[in-house]
Amino acid sequence: MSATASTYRELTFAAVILGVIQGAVMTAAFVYIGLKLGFGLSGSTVAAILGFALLRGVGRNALGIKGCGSIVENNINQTIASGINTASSGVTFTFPALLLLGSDYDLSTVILAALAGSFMGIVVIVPLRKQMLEIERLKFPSGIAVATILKSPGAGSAKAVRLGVGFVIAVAVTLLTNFHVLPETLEIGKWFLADPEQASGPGGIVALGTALSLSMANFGAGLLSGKGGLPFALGGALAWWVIAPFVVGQGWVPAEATGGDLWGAVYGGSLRPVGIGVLIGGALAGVVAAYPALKGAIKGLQAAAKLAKTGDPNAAEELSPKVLSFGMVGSFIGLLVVALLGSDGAIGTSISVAVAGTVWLALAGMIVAQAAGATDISPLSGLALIAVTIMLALSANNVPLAVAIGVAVCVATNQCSDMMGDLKTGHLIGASPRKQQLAQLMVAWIGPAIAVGTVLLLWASGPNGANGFGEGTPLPAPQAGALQGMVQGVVSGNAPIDKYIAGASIGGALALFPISGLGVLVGLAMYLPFDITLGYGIGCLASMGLEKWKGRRFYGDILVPVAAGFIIGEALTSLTLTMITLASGGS
Amino acid sequence: MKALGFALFLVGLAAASGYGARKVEVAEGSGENGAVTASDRVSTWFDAAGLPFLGGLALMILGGVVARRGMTAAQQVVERAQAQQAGATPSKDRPLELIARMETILEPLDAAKLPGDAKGMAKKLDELIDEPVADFLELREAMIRQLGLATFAEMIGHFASMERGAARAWSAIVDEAWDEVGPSLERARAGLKNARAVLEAESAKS
Repeated sequence: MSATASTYRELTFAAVILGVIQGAVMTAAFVYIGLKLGFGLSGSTVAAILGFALLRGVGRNALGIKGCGSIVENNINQTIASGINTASSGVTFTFPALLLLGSDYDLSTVILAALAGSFMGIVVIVPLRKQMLEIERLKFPSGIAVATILKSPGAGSAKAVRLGVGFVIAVAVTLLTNFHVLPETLEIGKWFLADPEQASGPGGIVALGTALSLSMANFGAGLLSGKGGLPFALGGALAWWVIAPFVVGQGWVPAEATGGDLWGAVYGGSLRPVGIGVLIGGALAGVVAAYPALKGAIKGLQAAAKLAKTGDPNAAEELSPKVLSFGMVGSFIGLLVVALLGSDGAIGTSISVAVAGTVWLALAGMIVAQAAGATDISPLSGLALIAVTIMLALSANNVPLAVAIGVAVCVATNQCSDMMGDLKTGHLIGASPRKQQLAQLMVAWIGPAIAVGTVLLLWASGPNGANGFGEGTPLPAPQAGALQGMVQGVVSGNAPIDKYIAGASIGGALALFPISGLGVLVGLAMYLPFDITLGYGIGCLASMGLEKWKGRRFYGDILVPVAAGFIIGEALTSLTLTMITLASGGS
Repeated sequence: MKALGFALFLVGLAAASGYGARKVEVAEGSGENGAVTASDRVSTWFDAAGLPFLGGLALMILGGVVARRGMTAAQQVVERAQAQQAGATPSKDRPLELIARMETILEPLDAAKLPGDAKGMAKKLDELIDEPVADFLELREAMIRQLGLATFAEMIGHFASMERGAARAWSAIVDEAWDEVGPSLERARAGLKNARAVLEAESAKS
């Protein structure tokens, strides 16, 4: 499959098959975890480690396949496995809401929407590779961690030891927090309150909001991001130390709210919806600001495609614009068919839903990729909620159609951030971007099919072949439950559109400040609880201080392997603990 | 001026966000059967918080413009000071100086010496990525201001091609795929040469 005469193994049959098998197993397992616990997992690190064991250990050593399990071949394996698995959280956060709502839906529209989203996510994000990875130099901390695993055979024993030290620390902290020896979050502000449940007023909300997550992966992401991630931490400080007390001081929360209720009213009623708006406005303004570079990137793709026709093997570093356009048109037609089927053939509604769905999908994909690139955190569920809100408005509250488009958006945005993270890994190990893009595109249909099938299977496992998940069952489906509540809220006119618009204006104005990506970072900080931003910010500050004190080389030699160890250690331990808990029937 | 811009921007951001977050209750909607519509929500919020919100936005815009001007002025002061300092490299020439350092690392690497010199070659490639490449990327914002985004994008595309070539050569050495090392190093050298050409063309213009 190699494009050159080189014997260096990259996009091979073995890598594709192993990636598909790992991706399929992870998708089914992670759908179950998503319905049980309400969060999604990325399988990149697991796939990379297993890839070494199977491709190198079995392929090269046991079967004698020369050169099997090369760094770039294993990268294709993890690209495919994680690419397939992106559908698990995309589908789990959205589709079950339709079943929980008891809506009369057409299964083919859901499957088609998920497939269209899966392909569209890849084709809309590829032209942005240059902007995000080469121009903005987004860090993608998990991408760096996976690259560190892939590079480990040649990184030298000292770096391997540092990776191991980070890994062991993260495993220890994760185990200690899981078994409640350490708290998951240090609620620092509450130490200063006599009775946290009675806390009120501006001082009370500052104390209630000020907390520090003990997640080592979060701290590691901050270490890898350094100075570039600082606006995210400052955004958190602005949200919880300035805006929150201001809102409470002005009396814009229910007078009787204290303690946890006060925190919930400020976070859920004010900060989170404004944060979503800021994310949207920041991303839109970012597109406008980056227009010259985006234009250059598209011209570059066209020029490379022309050069490739002349036989220059080095010219085609990315998928050609023809393939991307074909994918884009095909996915749009898919969404249009979904809209036509879902609206009983109403052409005007269908076109507006398909166009708005495509535009929103591209924008949400950019937001998620940029947020994950800068902080490793993805505001997926918030953007899915907005997608469904827009679609409900455009389709006169046609719930099955709106949720189907929500499935497409959720799957697509996950594809965007996964593809970009994989391309970052590839950049660091010298992989061919085109081969990675091709690999992910080839298998984009697999994840949605498995995820939708697993959801239906679990639903049918309930009494009388239905109600296998939801409140009161062993699979509470928390994210889908939130979407169900939101759909009911929108239908009754309770969506905070005013906050979204105000936030979007602020996000647009943030783009005027001479720091790229500021709107997305500040928006994400408002969208999240402060314990995450604070933990991440301490990581950024520690990285900056250490680099200044110990010099540039310290970052690459020490910080990167240790921080990668933190991320890998926490991811693998959490996954193992989750599997053990589920296997033992616990929750 | 830069500090003033920052201060105005932050005050504006705090004000706009604070009033943007104002929660409002819509007593009666204008939709069917008194249902609350999106425009009901927006107009009720705007009546309650619109003016201070717009004031905050205006401060943000003003602060952003002032900070941008202040940063450009501060950059010029640094450049003038560097120009007056004997022996120092003016900041506008620093990228080319770093490219020259990268060339001194890349040029002597000879794939024909493999597998004998594999460890030494991998170490040199590590050094390339960890030092001059990292230093070069630290100048990103300054180069964008100096070259403009479109020219920077063209230059950094070639530069990234160099990075990928060097990284691939490193991976191929570790994997003992010796026939891949030479072409990867060639790609890296070509990328660096093209990046240099863009920078030199811009330098000649100014």
